[in-house]
Parts: sequence; structure tokens; C-alpha cells
Amino acid sequence: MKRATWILSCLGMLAFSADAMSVSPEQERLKSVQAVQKKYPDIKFEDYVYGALAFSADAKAQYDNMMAFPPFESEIDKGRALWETPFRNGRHYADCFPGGGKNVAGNYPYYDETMKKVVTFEMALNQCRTKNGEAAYKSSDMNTMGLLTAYARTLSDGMLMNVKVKGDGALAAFESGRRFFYQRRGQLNFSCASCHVGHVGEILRTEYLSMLPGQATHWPAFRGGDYALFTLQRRYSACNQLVRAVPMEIGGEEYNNLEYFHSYLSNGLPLKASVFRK
Amino acid sequence: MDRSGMPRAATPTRAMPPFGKNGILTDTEINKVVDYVYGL
Amino acid sequence: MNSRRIAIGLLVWGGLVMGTAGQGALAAEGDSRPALSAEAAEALARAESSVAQATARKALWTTATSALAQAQEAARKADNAAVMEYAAVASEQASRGMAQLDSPLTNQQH
Repeated sequence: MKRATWILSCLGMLAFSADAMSVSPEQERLKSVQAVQKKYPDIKFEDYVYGALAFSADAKAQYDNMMAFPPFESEIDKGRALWETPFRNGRHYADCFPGGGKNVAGNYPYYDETMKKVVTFEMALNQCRTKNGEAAYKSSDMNTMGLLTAYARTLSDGMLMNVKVKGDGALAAFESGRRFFYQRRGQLNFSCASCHVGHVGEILRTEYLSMLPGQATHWPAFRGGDYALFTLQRRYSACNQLVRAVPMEIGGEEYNNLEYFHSYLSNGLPLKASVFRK
Repeated sequence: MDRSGMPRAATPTRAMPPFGKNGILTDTEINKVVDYVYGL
Repeated sequence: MNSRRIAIGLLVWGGLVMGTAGQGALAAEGDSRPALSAEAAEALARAESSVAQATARKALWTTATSALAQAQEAARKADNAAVMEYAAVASEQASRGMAQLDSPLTNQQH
């Protein structure tokens, strides 16, 4: 009996220490939040949405000033015009979403069991277009999809991220995104986690490194002196290039699965779209 | 020690880029960096 | 009389030779530029293959693509030495990118 108990305990320990595939998405999320709380107990959970700004009062003040009168307001207005212009068949984007498109973005991405793939909010916008006889926008085109989502996502400002991962297909997509996040890439040999888990709050190239939970809540962002519009996946592309990895396709499977994992890790945090970032 | 100047510890989470192995810096450049660091 | 004949003969012969040489030069200009050495062409082909493999495996580094572009540019100029140098870098960086796929995930704690 003692021997059996010992064997069972060993097996139990082996299972516990196995690769994080055996860790559920919610356990993964809690682990990442707890890691930040442990390292920076003074930063409130709800302030994780500010990312790098949470580490510098000056940077946060600059952000607040900028957001009082955003210089990129006219770009968001272009997005509003795209959203409000009817399709040739007379229908609108608002007809494609519950509540006219208000408070929906936090439910994305989701795993579509019929299509057997992750669907991002931008894909849903394109599905709305094609369902109504219009050509899909290129996900990487900031002048069409970028501007459209820059307005459409603001309709969900304040909504808490609420991504669901249920079922084998969804779990596999989540795991694929998780592996991408933790895989080394590029000549510089960094994974996303190298900076955004391993060195959160430290300074790299004059900027604070933001924490993983909260990162997916504030897109698109208007960045830097020229307020260039960046969707989250455009930012993935830019980060990959920074470590000297050839980026994946914006709107492709890898980045969609990554966004799925990444967004789940921000569950419980409020969204705010079309914000300034340095 | 490898050409990055750091011991090749088997730490999966280590963040030091493999400057020598991946050709990020040439041997000459690595030597210059080492000289500079020793001079600090 | 003889000397005049010889002079004329020389002139005609010289003209013929120069004309032929001139045509040869024109022909050379009309032909494509000097060909790449077999060694350089092989190195370039190997680099293109490595980069294609890394691309297919979604493991390509930007340093591999830029080295390959430089090798291809050197090949257009038939600069064999430059082709060899850049092709070697492209092949090596592409291989390293693919080898990186086997590195452990960075999610284990110290």
C-alpha cells in the first residue's frame, strides 16, 4: 500500500511539473497576473492596461494630456465615416453585431467551431463586408481596416475583456498562441516572454517593458511623433522585426492564434481603443 | 565561455542574445565591447 | 612599287583585323555580362534553397533575407567574391533560424 502511494505521488508530481500544456488558460492567466503583482505590488491590477505608462508618472501624465485632445481625432473620424457609410445594399456594419456594435470587441477573438479557426474582431468586420456584397479589406491596410477598427473598437470602450476558450479546437488554438509567445525567434533570439514576462518594468532601448496581462486591451494605438496607426497585429509584426525575425502575415493563422492567447491573458481588464502610445 | 563571452548555461529563460554564435557582432566588435566593459 | 604594295597590303590587313576586332567588341557588348563562376552560382543556389526552407518553416530571420538580397545583387554584377561572401551569410543565418525552432520555450521559471 505504501509503495502504491509512493508511486502515485511520484506520478502526480510528474503530471504537475509537466510542460504548461497541462495548465488551463485560466491558470495561465492567474499565474501571469500573480507574477506581476509579486514583482510590482504597488501597481493596481486595473492599471495594467497602461502597460509601460504604469511605471512612469511622467509618461502617464503625458498620455493623459495627449488623450484630453488627441491629435489623431481626425483619423478616428475617418473610421467613423467608414463605419456609418451604408453598404451598396443599404445595410450597415451595426446590423452585423449585437447592440449595434456596442460592447462587443471584448468577446473577440473567439474560436469558431464551424470554421475551425480563431476569428478576430477585424475578421468579423470583414465577414460583415463580404456578407453584404463588399470586398474584404486587407488586414494589414491601416488606411482601410486600420481606420475602420480604430472607430469600431471605441464602441466597446470600458467593456471588460471576456475571451472564452472552450473545447479541444479552442484549446489547441490557445496553446498555439501560447507557444508562439514563448518561442525564441529572430537573430536576437528573444521570445515575447523574454521581455514581457522575464523583464517586465525594466528599461530596454529607453522604454519600460509592459506586462503581459493588459497588453491586448488598448488597440489600435497611435504611436510616436507621427501618430502612426498600429493595430495589435501590426505591432506583433513590428516587434518580430525588432528581434530580426521576418514577421508573419497580419491576419494569418499564427498572429490570430497569438492574439487569442494574448487577449485571454487580459481577461477582466477594461478595453480602450485608439489611444496614444510613444 | 563562448564567443558571446558568457558561459553557455542551460537556462531556457536567459535573455542574453548570442552575440557571437548568431553573428550579431563580429569577433572584433565583441573584443571592443569587452575592452570597454573591463575599462568601466 | 613593292613597298607600296606591302603598305597597301598592311593597311588592308590591318583594317580587316581591326574591323574583326571591332565587331568582336560589339559582339561582346551585345552579349550579356560575364557569367558567374560555377562556385558562386552554386553558393547562391544553396542560399536561395536555405532561405526558401526557412520561409516555409516560418523561421526566417531578416538577416538571412537581406544577405540573400545582397548576394543576388552581387550576382547581377558578376561579383563572384561578394556572391560567395553574402551567400554564405544567408545560408548560415537561414540554418540558424531553423535550428532555433528546437530551442526550449522560455516559460520555465528560474
